[in-house]
Amino acid sequence: MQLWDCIKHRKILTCKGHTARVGAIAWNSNHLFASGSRDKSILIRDIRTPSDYVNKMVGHKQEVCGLKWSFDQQQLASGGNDNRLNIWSLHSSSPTFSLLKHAAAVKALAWSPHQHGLLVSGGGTADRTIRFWNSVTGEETKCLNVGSQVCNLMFAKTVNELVSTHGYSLNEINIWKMPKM
Amino acid sequence: MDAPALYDDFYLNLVDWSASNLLAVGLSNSVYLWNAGNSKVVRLVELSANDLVTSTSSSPTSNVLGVGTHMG
Repeated sequence: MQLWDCIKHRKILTCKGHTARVGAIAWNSNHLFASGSRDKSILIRDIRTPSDYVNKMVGHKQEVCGLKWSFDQQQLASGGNDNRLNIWSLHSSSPTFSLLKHAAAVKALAWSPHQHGLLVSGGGTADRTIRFWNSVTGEETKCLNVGSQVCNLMFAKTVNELVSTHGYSLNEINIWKMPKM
Repeated sequence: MDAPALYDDFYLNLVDWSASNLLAVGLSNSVYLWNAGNSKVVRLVELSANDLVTSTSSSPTSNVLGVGTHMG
């Protein structure tokens, strides 16, 4: 993977370390980011240091396709084609929680800006659920069967609502009012 | 912006907004930037012909764009 300057239109850096395609990138700050690959690993990179990566997170058995940092930047959620949702702390190389409830790839991930430690994940075609998690305890707090592949999840900033986008088979965009949890 | 060859693959993340109000889109082996202020499009990245862009992600407030590739 590579880093580019969008204003000067210049390549800044080629980041080595992955041996297969990189389908997910998530920035923690302007200098730290995570990249997830089909090589099953997640690499944490700090562009201020000369090393290729500062942490290698190994916990998925297939391609990593979803990555999101919590709002306090201390936890990373990752989803994979192995149906697994992993929650990591910034400096650890093994997952804090490895959650195997989805029955298909986990790509859609969102952290609530309204409630600390609330993580939401969505599953692929064979799963079609949106699950709510307490990232502090690893506990599942709610499960919605939504009837379609979940492609993306995102919270509204100013109201406590969640947007989900779907693929197979209904191709919907849904807006959910969040209950108190 | 026309987006021919937008790769239809659930696992990839090809579109992202940057802090400078540019929309980065990975199309085949290139990344294009659509400027939301003036609708102008520029090609930022062109990989080798046998490679593919598989993700784009902007840093929170700087001008750095992460570009994931098929080669790794």
